[in-house]
Amino acid sequence: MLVRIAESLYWTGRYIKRAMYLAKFLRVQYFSTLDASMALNIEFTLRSILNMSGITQDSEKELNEQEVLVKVGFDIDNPASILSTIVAARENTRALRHVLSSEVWESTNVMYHFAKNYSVDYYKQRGLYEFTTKVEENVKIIRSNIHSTMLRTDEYYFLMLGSWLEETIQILRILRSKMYDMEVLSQGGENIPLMQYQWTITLKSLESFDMHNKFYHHTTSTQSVVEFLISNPKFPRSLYYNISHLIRDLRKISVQPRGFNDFIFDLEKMQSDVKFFTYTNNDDLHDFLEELMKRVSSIHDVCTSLYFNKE
Amino acid sequence: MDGLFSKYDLKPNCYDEVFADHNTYRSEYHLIRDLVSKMDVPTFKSLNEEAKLSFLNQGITYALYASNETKETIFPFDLMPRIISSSDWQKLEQGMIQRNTALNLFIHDVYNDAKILKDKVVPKELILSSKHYIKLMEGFSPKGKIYCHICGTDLIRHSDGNFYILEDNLRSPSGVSYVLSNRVTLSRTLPQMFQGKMIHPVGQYPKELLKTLKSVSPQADQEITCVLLTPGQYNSAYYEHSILAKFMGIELVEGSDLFVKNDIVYMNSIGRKRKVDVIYRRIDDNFLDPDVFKKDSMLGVKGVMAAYLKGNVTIVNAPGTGISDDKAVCAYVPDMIQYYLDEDPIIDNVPTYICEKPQDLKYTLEHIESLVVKPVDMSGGYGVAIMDTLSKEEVEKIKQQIMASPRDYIAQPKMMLSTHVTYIEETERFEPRHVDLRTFTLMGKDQSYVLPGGLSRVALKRNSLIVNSSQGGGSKDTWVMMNPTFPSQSQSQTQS
Repeated sequence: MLVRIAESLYWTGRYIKRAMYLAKFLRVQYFSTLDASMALNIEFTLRSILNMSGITQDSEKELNEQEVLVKVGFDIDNPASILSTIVAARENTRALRHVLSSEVWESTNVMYHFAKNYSVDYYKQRGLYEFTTKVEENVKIIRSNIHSTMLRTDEYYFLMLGSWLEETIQILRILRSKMYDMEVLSQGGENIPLMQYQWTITLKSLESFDMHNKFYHHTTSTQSVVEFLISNPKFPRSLYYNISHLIRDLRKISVQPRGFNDFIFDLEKMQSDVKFFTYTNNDDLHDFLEELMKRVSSIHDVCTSLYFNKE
Repeated sequence: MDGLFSKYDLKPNCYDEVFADHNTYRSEYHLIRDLVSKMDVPTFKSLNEEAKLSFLNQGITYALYASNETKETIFPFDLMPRIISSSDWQKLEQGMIQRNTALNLFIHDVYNDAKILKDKVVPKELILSSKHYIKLMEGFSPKGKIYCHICGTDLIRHSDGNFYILEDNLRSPSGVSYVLSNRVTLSRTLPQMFQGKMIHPVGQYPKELLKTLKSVSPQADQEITCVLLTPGQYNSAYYEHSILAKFMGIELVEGSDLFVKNDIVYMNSIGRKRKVDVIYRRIDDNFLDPDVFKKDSMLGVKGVMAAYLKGNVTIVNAPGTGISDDKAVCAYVPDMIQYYLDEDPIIDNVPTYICEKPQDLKYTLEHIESLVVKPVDMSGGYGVAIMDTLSKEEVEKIKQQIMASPRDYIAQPKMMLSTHVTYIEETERFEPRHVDLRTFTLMGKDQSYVLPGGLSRVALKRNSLIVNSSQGGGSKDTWVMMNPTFPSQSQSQTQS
């Protein structure tokens, strides 16, 4: 397989997952502000949304709600917006349409045309729910097409490599930005109901609310939420689950370049650190997440040097 | 006329492909008569919308070279097919093979013994002054002596009912992907139209193309690796590049995916680097190799010409083939057919006045009002001037331009392209629109193939004669009917 194609597949996997998480996070966060306990905190939520999207912000300046929503959703000059991510996913699949099944290409193209033609005015007024839900649905169709129509060959595994890595990063980002939110919220003393509400939103952002409650029999605490999302081996939105699958699919790529074994060794170390994580206090959790983020981010660099180098 | 076509007006002095006169369908169109007489316009309209959405979602689009921003556009597709009878087709097919045989002999001759130039059948200056002439190719003979492996020839049907050749595209003719997708889209949208009809399939083109590429590989004994070299996904024909690569099952590469080491071309693949035998390139000569041509080309492959001239890789079409792409040279093809094959041309050229020839220049200037003037070296319908549509000042200006550099122009009589029933969205009616036909001819070592039918391009603007997609053209599925007297291969297979 061409180096360029492998790299494009990897990025396609990443962008498709990213589009879904950006849409999901935006929707759940935004609608949480309509709830009484957060009603006075719209500014706070907008900052949290910007934070999660990785958009740098001026902390002094007052935020305009519609501006933030457009920036996160539709600003094509902002590479972290949902639209930019969808455009990037589609540009990559366009370069790959001869190696992908036409179902994967077509469903990505359908999502692109949907997002590109969506009225920004309507989105600002009433369309946020519809837009973000449709983006998620589209991503689910694409993923289903990837799973059901692609051969299990290197093409598929490079897509999945990007997909698992992006999911790991997104879960980490959500956890980190929620930790940050908690710190801000507890500045005036700890407010248990508000904290619980924030964890509920977090779980909902990750479509984890029901399964969490099932697993922990309806008790929500910081410990239950973070352990569920970090180390649960059976839940597909946990870090452990994603890192394990990343390792599994990486091993299936037919080419094992020099340095491969060291890479796997580091990944397995990370996998085991995540597996045996237990919550003790917020400070330790904070350090753990920061350290893990650095290690996860380096996966991309190693992939680049192992697979994506050209003559 | 009944049903869908009840309000159809024939255009005077034009050959209409569908109707012989107001009440009579031409014989091959009896095939669809039943269907169209039972259908109404609203039904057709919704089918038309369906087809458009299908094109958009499949990403069957092209980019327009607009001034500031490239816009992705669906190539307009008309659901009413163009039908070519088997006898017309037989003649066209033979004509194309004859023509391409002569063209390949000509290019080989030019770069080797140059006999035809010495014998003054084709003027030496015309060829040597071509900007597509590549000195490096002198004395080199590519595999099978084939230069033009893929040729797109544009034909029109004049009011006399005969086909004439307008021009040959020998560099990187495009449009074949539309032939393939038009057929798929039409059969999805109007399956009833195909039932019980013996239409030549078009889907085997990629297979034939791959066979052609493999036939000219430098070595035949081992596994042959062919690649399709594209300028990248922002090129207007990228869709075509990707669909052809996909159907052929070969890698679609950009310049940076290839590199040359010791005059061997390799692919930048993960793991072991793979050697490349045949490059089907969709970039112009100029961009092919920064060592030899444009130094700042980012699209090409450094060192690929050296590898080619050593015989380690085959480039398709061969570099320098463009000398025959020139519209003035096109006018000499009938002479080439006589010279090399000692045959009369099966399909005539549109009469062409080569402004470089003093007597032709004189004729052109004297009769300019009734002519169409074309720059010899532009494609995509750019620069074509139809004189009777221009003001006196504009005509005068073109006269001056021709006199200043006669080598750059040819003139042709205004040929009345035939018309075809075409659905016009604005009026929600069927109206006559001018059509041409681009055929696709493949030539490999000891093999040739003409894609049955080809691309019928439609000038969607009323009265326009310019069919190019960049200037408001669309296309139609083109059917070639199988010869009813000879059972086709698929028929005999079913019987056994």
